[in-house]
Amino acid sequence: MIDQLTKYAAKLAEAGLCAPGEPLLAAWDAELCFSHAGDARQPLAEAVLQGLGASALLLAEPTGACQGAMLALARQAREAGESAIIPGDCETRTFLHDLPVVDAETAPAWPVDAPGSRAPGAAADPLDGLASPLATALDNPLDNPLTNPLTNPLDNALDNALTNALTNALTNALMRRKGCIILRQGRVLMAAAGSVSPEQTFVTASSMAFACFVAYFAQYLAAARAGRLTAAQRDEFAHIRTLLQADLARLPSAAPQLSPGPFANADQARAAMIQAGRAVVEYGLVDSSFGNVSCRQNTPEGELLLISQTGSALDELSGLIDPCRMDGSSCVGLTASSEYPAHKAIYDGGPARALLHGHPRFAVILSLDCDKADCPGRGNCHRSCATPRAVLAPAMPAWNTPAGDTATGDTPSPLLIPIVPGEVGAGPYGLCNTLPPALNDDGGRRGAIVYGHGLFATGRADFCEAFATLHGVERFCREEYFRRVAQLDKQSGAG
Amino acid sequence: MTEQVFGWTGRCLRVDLGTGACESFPLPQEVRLEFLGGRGLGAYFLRDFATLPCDHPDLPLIIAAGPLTGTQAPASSRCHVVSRSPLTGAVGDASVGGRLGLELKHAGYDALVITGQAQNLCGIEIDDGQTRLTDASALGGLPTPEAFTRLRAHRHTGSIALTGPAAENGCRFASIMVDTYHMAARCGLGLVAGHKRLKYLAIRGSGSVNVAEPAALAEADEDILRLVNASPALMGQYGFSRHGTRSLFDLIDARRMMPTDNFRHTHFAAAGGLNAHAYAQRHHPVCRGCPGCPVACKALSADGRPLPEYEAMSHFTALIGNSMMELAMRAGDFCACLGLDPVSAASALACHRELTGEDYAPDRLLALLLGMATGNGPEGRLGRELGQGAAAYAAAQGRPELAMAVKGLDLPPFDPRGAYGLALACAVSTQGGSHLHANPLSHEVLRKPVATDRFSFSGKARSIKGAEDLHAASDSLTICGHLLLAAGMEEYAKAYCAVTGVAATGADLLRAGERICLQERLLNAQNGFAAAADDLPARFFLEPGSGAPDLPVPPIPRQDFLRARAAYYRVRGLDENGLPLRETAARLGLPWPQKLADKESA
Repeated sequence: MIDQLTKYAAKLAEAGLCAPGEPLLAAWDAELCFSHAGDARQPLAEAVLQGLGASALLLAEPTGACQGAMLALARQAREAGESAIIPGDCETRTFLHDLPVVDAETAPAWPVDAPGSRAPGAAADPLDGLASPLATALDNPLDNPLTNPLTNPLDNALDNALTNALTNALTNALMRRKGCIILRQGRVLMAAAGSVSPEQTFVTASSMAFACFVAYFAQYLAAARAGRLTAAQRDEFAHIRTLLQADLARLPSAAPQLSPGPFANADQARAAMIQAGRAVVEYGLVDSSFGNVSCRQNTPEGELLLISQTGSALDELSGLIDPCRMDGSSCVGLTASSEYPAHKAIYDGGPARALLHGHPRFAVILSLDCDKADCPGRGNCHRSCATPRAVLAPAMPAWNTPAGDTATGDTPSPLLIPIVPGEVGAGPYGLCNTLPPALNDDGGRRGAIVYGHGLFATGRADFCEAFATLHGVERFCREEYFRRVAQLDKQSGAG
Repeated sequence: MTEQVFGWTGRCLRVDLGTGACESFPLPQEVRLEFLGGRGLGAYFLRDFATLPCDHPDLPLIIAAGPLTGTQAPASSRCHVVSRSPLTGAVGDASVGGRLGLELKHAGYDALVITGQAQNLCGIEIDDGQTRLTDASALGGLPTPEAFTRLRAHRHTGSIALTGPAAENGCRFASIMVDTYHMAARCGLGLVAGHKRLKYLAIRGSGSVNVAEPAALAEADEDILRLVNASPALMGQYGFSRHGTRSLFDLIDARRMMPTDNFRHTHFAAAGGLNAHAYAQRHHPVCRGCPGCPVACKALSADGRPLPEYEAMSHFTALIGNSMMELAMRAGDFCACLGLDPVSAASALACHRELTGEDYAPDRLLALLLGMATGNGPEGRLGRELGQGAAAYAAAQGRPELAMAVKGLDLPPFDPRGAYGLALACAVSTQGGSHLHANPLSHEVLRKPVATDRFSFSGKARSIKGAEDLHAASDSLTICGHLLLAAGMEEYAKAYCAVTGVAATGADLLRAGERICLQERLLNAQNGFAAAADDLPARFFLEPGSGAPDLPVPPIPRQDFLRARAAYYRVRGLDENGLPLRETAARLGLPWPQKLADKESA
């Protein structure tokens, strides 16, 4: 079990969501075990696990822009008297519903004599040393003489009462939801519980980080459009943007090595899917347990739709690809991705041979941006939208075709990436109804964004083109986002 | 002034078939909150009668709906049947679809408690507040479709539950059929009705269920339906909404978990031609789902026969070495007509086949089913022996190890060597060899909420305990277990609060589930069930399954199993012998049974 705990703690760090060694994961079967020893949060984790009777618990402090975004949203919720953050992204709406905020600002610091009070080996947060008001607030609480128990020891009874209050509040929040956010000593901490395995806590934490990131940037842009940004919000935003730049600097810049198609057989196609899935995660285009990948492949036994299994991590696809028969003559794909119906319809109605689906953050954020403040459909945009919407991204060749995306040498055209509504999976509002026509329109498009959800990119032979679309559209959307913010600032006179 | 009750009706009905007395009585609030409904209420009403023999007139047969039944909460229209199982001697329970729970609630009752023994075959007819007993002698011996047809001639609306010939003739795995096509299949609860000479129950209600906060219920429904639509197993291209549970057939065989030849093998070579697609091609299914269910997994063939669910589909082919789809169809149809649990019927056949080496010709197989249910026909004598269940039959033949059962309840078509959580769940289930009280297939095969290593016991003790609590809560809210592949108590708690007006979290409902599980353990403990009964047939620890080069299926490591079971006992609050601890019962507010107290003092 400990190997699972350390694995998911490491994956949070690899995704850039937490500092290495910081996340504390606990698993409780007959005995309790932790991802690492000597963490001062262990008694809290144990007490909460016992209160819940759950199998697994995670306590992890997000870093960088995720910390900034989550903290800003948690404070907004507290100031508004709300007990939870309600992000508008698809994953939260479907699986988490809302993110309770546990206000534990007054809880005592973790005991400093325990090695885990600051995670062993934790990397310095890029926040440290920054001079903005937010940076001061987010600074390491142990450096703060007002909260450091060594310099300002609290009365033990009060200490215990506050700790018990935190335990109870956290337990109560996790009785209601899979995960919650703890606002504590000027920072936020994610907590998540699982009934089956530690992986659940990792999935929930990843979702919360993604949801808060998207919600913060989307809300900021909406506030800018409405002309109701304050100076403090602008400062906060500027600071989080700085953190984001540091986050982005961690991502690889060189092109990934992806196998060119067409693939000779199903094994080659599977290998290419594994390769592409790993690249999508490494380049920060999806959080590990989300997204999906598929490939249409001829085999001597008939045509297959190879697709990642539901809940599989895109960076660990080996052995987790379902061979679904295109003629539907076997149900062995019962464990296929929830987006299988959409993938199937895309292959049935268009030229795509490969599909990559990620959750690139700024593509999702831009899909939420709408300037129709008085639209009667507002609030229902994830289900339907009367206005055709799209992102017009610059032309982008596949990674392995630097000269352009046509054999003629003509200047490639800009990419029209439609934005469509649709909920996860099937059902009357399912994206299986909206996405296939959008991607198969005009002889086949290279990508489409599902509102508040993610980007689906196609390839006609392999994953090179699809990956280039995913990566390029996200880069464009990020630039476009900040361009829109700057333009709105300029219009409001704040720029 | 009468207290307004939301969700529940707050009333139950007791019918004594011996005296003819029908008494409506209140269901106190504390019982509602602690046992919820359905399976929980069944355990509650059974607890003072747990040790009575199954043919004792005072042993109650309980049919209970849940607080959500009759509301818009998705897939909540089911009800639960509970009594002591004639097949196992343990507590027996079965969830059943159709309109029975719905009509019971609309008639004004949360539960029906049937006691006594009639002189002749009788029926109970409930029309709102009016209850009467009828003479059902004319229905004796009829196949269930004919009995339904006759009853429908004078009861066009409402729900009808009835037993088949199997219940009248002492078959220990007799089922109860509801609204022609739905079956309370497991544990032989039809025979409890048979002992009481109860042939049918017809309920018609015109009332409605009070919902405390309709707008909040609509929100909860939306959350649940969103998750259902996102579930590949339920609504995907190959999901239950397309093919019913027949969708599982290919996957279970591909995972090398298909019980074949009485669990001697775990892969069936003929599976490819007998899968859900093949059924769809040949039989053109017509949907007949339960009311208010978004999945609607039940289907009939174009010629009006019920299409087998996965359990019958698998056990009437792979388990008994049959590769003819039409024979599997007919066997499933025979079970429905005769009122037999198809899992136990097929298991008895498989046990006999292994014992004798006999392969079944179609006529012989169908004659044996007829014999199991009626004791008549060309195979009446052997059929009657098999009708006592595989465990009793194998024991009588001096080969008890050939019964693939736990506590006498035959195992479902999922080989425990292919999923160790499943192995543990089947071993410790209070009803015996069934996955339904924990459904570890959810994470070990279907990857929900996340995938777990199916060849490992790591973490399984607590997750099985948690899943048992979850399923006990869901069976007590009378939600279809399939929905738990998508939504959980987090979502259903919102619906529960909206319907009942009771403030509760998912954790509160799980606590109720824990109480119900322990109550069932207490019932079983009084009947002598302990660790020795929480075990699997030796085959699973000694013989490998039919692995593939890249997918070995070794025997279950015995010591690992025993360690996981011991861990489960600790997590569940049981002693080393699997018996409830007094402090666990006290923590959950359950009275300590006098029989256990007497045993302690002795």
